Amino acid sequence: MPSREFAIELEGVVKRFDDIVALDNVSFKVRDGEYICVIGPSGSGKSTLLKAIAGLVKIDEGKIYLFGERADILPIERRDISLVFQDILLFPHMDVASNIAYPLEVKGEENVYGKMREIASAFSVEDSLHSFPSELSMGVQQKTAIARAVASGSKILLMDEPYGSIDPVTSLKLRHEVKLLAKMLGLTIVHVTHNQEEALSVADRIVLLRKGRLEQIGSPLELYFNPAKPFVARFIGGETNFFTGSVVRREGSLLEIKTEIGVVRAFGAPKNDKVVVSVRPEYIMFADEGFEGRVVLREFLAGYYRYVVDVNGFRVVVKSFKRVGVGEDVFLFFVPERIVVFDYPEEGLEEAVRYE
Amino acid sequence: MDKFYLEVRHISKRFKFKKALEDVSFSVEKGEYLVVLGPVGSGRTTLLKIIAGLLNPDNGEIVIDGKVVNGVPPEERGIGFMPPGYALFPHMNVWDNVAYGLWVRNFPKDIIEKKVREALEMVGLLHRAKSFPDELSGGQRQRIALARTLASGAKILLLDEPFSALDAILAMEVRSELKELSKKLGLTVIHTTHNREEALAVADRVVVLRSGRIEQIGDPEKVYYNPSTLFVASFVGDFNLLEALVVDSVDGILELQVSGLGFIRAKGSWKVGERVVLSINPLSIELGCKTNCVEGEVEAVSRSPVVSRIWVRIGGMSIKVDKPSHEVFSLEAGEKISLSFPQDVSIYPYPEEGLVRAIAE
Repeated sequence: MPSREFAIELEGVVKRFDDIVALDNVSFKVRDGEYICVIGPSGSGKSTLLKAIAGLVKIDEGKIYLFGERADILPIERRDISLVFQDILLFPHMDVASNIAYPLEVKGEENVYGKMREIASAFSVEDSLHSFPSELSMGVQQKTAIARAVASGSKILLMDEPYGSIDPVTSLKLRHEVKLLAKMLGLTIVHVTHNQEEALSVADRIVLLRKGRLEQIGSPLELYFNPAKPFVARFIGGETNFFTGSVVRREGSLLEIKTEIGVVRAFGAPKNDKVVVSVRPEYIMFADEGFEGRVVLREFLAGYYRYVVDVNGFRVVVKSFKRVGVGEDVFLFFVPERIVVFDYPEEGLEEAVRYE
Repeated sequence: MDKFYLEVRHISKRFKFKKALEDVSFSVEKGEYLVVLGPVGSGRTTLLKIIAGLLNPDNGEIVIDGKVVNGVPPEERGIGFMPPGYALFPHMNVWDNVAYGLWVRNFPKDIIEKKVREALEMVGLLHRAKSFPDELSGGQRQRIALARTLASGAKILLLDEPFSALDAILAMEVRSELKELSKKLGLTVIHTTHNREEALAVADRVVVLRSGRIEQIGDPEKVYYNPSTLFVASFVGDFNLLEALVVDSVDGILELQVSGLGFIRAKGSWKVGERVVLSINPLSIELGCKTNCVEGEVEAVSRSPVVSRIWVRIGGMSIKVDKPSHEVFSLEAGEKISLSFPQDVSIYPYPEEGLVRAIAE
């Protein structure tokens, strides 16, 4: 049953554009006051998802609830949602004060000036109240646009690449300001971004889409440490190592898996014996024993190193602060609790992790 | 002289309104992978075009294998030039893409056949000869562009921003593949980029170019850890640069008043009253109170898999701190935090033109 404790609920949402399924049976719930980031490769349906919630596109199947009320049948103006886009849509002929005051006036609020000042000061744009958008940096313009969205009084704020036009350092600080304000004001935010680092840094939970389907929803660390599928492991947190193998022994959740590089001991509960083992380069250590290999490539990554190590003719990527020479023989130790075991995907591993 | 395969000697080039290159000299060994790193407008592409013979320098010489090649047309220099974005023909399959250059130059059919086959074998993509570019991955397209260059017989490869069209994760996979392949094939490579991470990762040596002049040449770790100028410290190292005044100096230990931050101690032999700039590697700053302790507030955290960056506000300053990510998983913006600055820092004289101009791109 839809409930008021969830700001947004999606139930089996489907959206098609001609032959293309942009959203394929997407269901998830967003708690009141939660900060959600939506990520995924280009064409995964991120923006369509946001538009579906906002009412900018009409969904073909499924239901959307806002605070427990059916919303997909409502027109956009009755959904009580505010929107922020990458293109900053301020009124160019109005100064900052009038831009922020506008939604307050439209709603016929009392004490518009006082409320406008309050919001402007929360967003620390009170020094620019009488400046016009063209006189401001992109960062301050977008901050004003978000302040205006907040002034509308909606409890749900949807943002599509809000920091896409802003220089990286400004956007880093702005996104934290916005998150703090959202928490202070109790707003629910759904924020679409192509920037994974942004999502990992600000989201309470991340929605990861691929080809219109929900791959996983969870906290940044859940997605990073406990990816639900090989694709999640590859997409989140940069590159990762995959090995294929078969379980040769099970003792409860302790598994012994024979792979291309040798026997891997890990924890997991795969249904089948044919499995994919993934381990991140940053959780492989150079040690005194383990998988024997030879360093074939070293890259310096400003303070630490990325290595390619040949183990049994198989390439293993390692990231480490330790400096080892190319051509050296090494032993690799996989941190056991950071090894993830998946059932071997039906479509094959290559297809399962492809994102181009 | 014969140790170096390719030499760039005192090259200068002026366009109508701008000096593009000023007295640029460096040498490249046979089989070396050299990266020219510089911001937009630093003269990277002009330099590559001059080496390739697509542009003539106003002054200076290009020497290949001991011979001055100024005036030698591009196709006779044994150089392959790969422009950004590969420029593969989308309507031609892989084989035709690689064969095209030879076909245009009227090579006999059997020679074309042989060269294309060899080039595709070298990059390991002979089995995709019938595929079209959009059926290939980013890495495979890169290798096709390479095969096309190799088919022309080039032994020196000039790559202009080769990964600018790729997504960041793919670029990381592709760049090491390309470097390994070039080493395996014994190619001499000059690769330009504005991306410091890419440059440090793949280069045997880095040439840092700024406004048409060389700022520093060296292996990546040396350039990163021992920047010779404030510009390199900022552009390559992304270090914290802090203005300071020497207020005391006893036995090689300086007491420095750092504007906006307070007093810190560092090793060095500078005179009391001198204005200096401290260059501090974000990785060398520790969390917690040890030496040179200052209190601040976390302004922002940028999370990445291996190293995360923390911005800490102290007084009027914003300090960059890098830490292994697992040490700062739970750190959030708004928290109070103490930092310890190292005593071993690089100290530069305060630049005449001011700090902002000294590091401007």
